[in-house]
Amino acid sequence: MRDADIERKPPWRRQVFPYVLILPGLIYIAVTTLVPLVYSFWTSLTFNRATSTQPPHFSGVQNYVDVLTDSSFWNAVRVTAIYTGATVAAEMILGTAIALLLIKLTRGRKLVRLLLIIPFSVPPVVIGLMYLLIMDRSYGILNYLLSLVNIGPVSWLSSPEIAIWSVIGVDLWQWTPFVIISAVAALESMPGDVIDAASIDGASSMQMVRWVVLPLIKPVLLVVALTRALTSLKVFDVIFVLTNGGPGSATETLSYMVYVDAFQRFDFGRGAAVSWLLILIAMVVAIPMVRSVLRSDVA
Amino acid sequence: MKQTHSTMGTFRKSAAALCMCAATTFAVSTPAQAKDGQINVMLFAGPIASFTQQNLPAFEKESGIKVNLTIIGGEVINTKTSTELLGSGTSFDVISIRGDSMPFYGTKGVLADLTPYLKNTKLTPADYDLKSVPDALMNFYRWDNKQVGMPWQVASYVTYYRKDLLEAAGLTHPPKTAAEYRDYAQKLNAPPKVYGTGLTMQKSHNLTSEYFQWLSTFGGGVIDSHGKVILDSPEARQALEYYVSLRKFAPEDVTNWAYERLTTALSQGEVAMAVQWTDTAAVMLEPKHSKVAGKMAFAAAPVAKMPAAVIGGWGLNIPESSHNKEDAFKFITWATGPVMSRKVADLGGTPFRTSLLRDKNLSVKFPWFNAQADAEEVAVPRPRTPAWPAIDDAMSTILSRVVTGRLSVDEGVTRMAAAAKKQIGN
Repeated sequence: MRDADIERKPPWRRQVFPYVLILPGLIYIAVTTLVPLVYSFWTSLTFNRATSTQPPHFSGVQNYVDVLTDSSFWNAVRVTAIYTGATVAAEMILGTAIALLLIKLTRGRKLVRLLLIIPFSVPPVVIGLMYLLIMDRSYGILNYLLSLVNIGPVSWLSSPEIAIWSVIGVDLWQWTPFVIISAVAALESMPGDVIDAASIDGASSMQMVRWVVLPLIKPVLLVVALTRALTSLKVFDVIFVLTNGGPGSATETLSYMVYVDAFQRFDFGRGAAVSWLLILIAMVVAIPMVRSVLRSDVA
Repeated sequence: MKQTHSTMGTFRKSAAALCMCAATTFAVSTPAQAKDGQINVMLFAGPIASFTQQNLPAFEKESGIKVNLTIIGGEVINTKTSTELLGSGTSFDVISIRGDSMPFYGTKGVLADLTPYLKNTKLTPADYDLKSVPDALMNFYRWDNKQVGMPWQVASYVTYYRKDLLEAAGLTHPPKTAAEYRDYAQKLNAPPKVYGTGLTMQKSHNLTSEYFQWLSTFGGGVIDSHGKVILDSPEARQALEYYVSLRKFAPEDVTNWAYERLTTALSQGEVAMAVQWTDTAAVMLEPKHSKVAGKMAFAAAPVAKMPAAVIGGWGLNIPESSHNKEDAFKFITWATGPVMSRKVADLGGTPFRTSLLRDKNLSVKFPWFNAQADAEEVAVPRPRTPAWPAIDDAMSTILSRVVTGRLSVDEGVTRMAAAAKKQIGN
């Protein structure tokens, strides 16, 4: 339709027309996103345990009360917080620092960038299996390398104290390259005249990074941090393959708990309740970050 | 502006990579409803599934039934099975399901009763030889007086032991009792070269099953004949104390070992003994993959108070929603029939028919067959309650905390009993 055709229509039709255009998309989103969300919320308000002889029935907030008074939920919150906090902080610092070094490369930057895509393009299950071998106490290459300098062997995945840090380490390997690539892209898009002006004003390298570069790439870093925080909150596959949530509950995250409740114990009501609590936690984390992103965009 | 576009492009590419990763994870497709003359079959990955796949053309030619085969491994098949069967109906006509889940799926009424098919002489071949299938196994796949599945891939706990190491240590016979097993483990424990025993203490159903083996021989159980939870009985406490005590003679990282890792440890000579499922025994005999070929021997599981061998494995089941039940049943009688069982046994797959397990030629060639046959005589199924999957998982979490020293044995049995009571509702 040409612009002139639209302009000839009465004002109310001109206002409605855009909504008509996006209606199929809205319906699609409603069906594929909202309907399952509403259904899962309804499920969270029911007693729906497949191992029970009782048929599913409405139970109000009982699942939420059960979950919130269960120490395993709070353990999962703690593990998820450690996992998300450690991975996001370490990946952002490491990724940005490496990007600042990488941007100085005059040759081979494209090749490095290409290689950096590999870790986060590999399916997490494959990464889990790979690290299961790498971190094996007896046959793993990690302990072999440490043995060359008389360290270890270390029980990477079987010690409750170490296992969570091992899983975090795998996440760093997989996702730091994503931060690097994003930060490099942001650095490359910085206006050159600002950098030149700072140089002329006599800013040192550290001052340049602190007061010029980081503020300029902040919007991109915030979006990356938000993406990483949300994917870390949902981590499941790598833990499923590496530790099954163990030893004990040492690596049991909220997402893993949802899987256990819904698909191991067949308590769909409880699983849905935990997943809604996870959504709430994700919102608590995401909203301030989204606000920061929007504020930095406006700025 | 151009630079901004380049940044956005990088983001888009990254997002696309993310979506690809998410989409490929655990993606196991469900086939469309099979047409007439076709069936959809989902099997648990393993040597017997591969062997069944290799022999499929012969079945298809003989029966005229086209089989669309899906093979899935590990825990994924359990999740897939539950979503298929507990949803709005599956397009699979035959599914292999873990035997200990029969009460759960049986109660849900999602599995077809095979009794009428077994009684129908047109559908069950005359030479099917049901008599050579032990009652314990048939009962394992029975629920509420319905035969909801047929045994296909079976395994029991038996003792794997290195006869060369036992001889070198002056031990003249395999460990017969639990006390002897621990003594042997202590004597054979010479880390880092070899450890006394291997264990499967990773938080998973492997851990629960292994503990359940010791629990059964110590005279304990999960529920009694009245359905009352007895996981905190003195026998349960004794069994758990004993089980935890074995860890001293095992590699430090057994707290993250599952079934596959124990198989590697046994075949690579990392551990001298283990009480392990029979279905990995064939691996020990393969000189290509095993450093202990010719050195590994098998015996009945050690006895504490009463002989017991936990029975496990996978059956073949027909979903109630299948539109091709008769064809599906023909597939089952072929896959579990005497001819295929014999072929499986000739290759070292553990058969479930007593006639094959007690075959003298076969038991010389495959030395665990006798131990398996003995085990079937004292077979103990996992608790016959629909709540078992939930209890199994709750137990594995608590046991994992006990074996890593996060909980005492007393706290462990108390919490396991409480968790089981919550699931059963007593």
